[in-house]
Amino acid sequence: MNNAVPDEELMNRYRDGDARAFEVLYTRHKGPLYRYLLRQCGVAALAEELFQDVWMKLIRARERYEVRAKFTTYLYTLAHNRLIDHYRHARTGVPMSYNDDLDEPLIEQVADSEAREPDNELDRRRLGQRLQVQIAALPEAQREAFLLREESGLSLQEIANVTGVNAETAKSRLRYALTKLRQGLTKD
Amino acid sequence: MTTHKPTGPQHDDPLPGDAEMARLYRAAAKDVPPPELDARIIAEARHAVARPTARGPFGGHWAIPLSTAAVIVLSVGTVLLLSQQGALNHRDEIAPLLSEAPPQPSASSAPTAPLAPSGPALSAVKAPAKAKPVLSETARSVVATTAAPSAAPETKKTERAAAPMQRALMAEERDSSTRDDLRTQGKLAKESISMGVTADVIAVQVSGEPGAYQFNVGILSPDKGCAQFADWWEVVSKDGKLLYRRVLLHSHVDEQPFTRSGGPVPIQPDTVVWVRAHMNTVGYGGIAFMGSLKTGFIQAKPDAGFAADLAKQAPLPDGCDF
Repeated sequence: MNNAVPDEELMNRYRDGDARAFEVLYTRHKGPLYRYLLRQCGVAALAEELFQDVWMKLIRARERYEVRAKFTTYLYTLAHNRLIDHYRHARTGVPMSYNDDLDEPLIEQVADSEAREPDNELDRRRLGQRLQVQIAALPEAQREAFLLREESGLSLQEIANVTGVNAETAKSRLRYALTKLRQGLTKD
Repeated sequence: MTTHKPTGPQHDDPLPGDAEMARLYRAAAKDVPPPELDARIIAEARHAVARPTARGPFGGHWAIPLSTAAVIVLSVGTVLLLSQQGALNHRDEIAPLLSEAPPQPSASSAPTAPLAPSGPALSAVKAPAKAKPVLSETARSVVATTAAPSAAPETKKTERAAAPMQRALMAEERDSSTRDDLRTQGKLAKESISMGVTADVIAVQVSGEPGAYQFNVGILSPDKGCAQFADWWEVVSKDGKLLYRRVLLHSHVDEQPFTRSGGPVPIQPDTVVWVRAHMNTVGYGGIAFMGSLKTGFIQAKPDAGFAADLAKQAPLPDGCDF
């Protein structure tokens, strides 16, 4: 049985002046949020800057906070928006993958049984490292969908809400991401 | 029902064959933000709710005008004092004082600031620097700010026994009053001596291991938005080589002074370096910090034109977010 205070309740308490509630909330979410930003921008210093901006935004907006959705959805919407804002102002602009022209052929059927099952801890670690490389090589929008699912535990509909697309697009991005990752791991 | 923490994907439409992928990912995904960053964010969160919001006799609508009036009175007083002393009423006139070679800090005694004059007016312009010597090469943190008070030995003992994040948080709390002082001093200095265009380094905190130190750098800059903002801070060797640069993504109009961390900086405990900031408008020229891990850092101002060519060296900013 889990008696932990829900995120939304903690955020309400922080809004009302309880700094300790913020610390609990922060400790719960700092790792996943940081990794989401780190994988999306690839540079630790940049990720730290964006990470701090997201939390500062949350701190400054606390008085206007109302429970309208899961706190996680709220937090990652702030993070997604900050990331897109950063892309927009960078010379390279918003990555093309956000245009969602997912018309490349998708060779999807790499069944679970075909994916390499690591035999021991060393194999597992090596495979984990290869997975990180594959994740880094994904187009940004697909990688984001994967990270939002794995790091924040968001559902497809919530991923769609956070990233401002419909559920079908979110699902497509995730399918492409998983298929590419699986293909990458079964190569060699 | 809400989740209390990310508990893994909620498969409302499970995709086939990804269970092992998720397990692999989670086993390898261990990155977390540095403890210094944790501490800074938590300190900001505490600071935000600690600010009085009650509407007492001096709260509410009067709070801002009264504080503004207080700053004006203090600023005018400061300028009058400076005028009466025939001293500094323009920032450029401070430069010669600051550009004097700082005394070489020694391990046995904390270095003193290069600013000799004292008095309330000057302390508002720039408080003396205090750098703390580091006792060993693996010491976790050396802090130097423009007005850092020494922590009580008991406080430091407790800090050493704590976990990294808690330790950083304790250090952050210990210095929070200093930061408030810096905010006030910074505002007073800005308003009283019509300085204006360069970015000053006001605090340096270093942690980590030889060859890969993490720097937390406090900066006070006259940001106005993307048209005028501090766009990086950097660590430069004594002979002018760029050792590390932390590019800033955006202006900090509403967050002055501000702190940003960066690293790893590839130096040894006895490597003497400059830590300085850069404005997108006028470049270098502000007050910097100089020193090493072994001896501590003190405020100083590099010679005009020192390593100015580094402004063309990568990495350079890739735009400005806001």
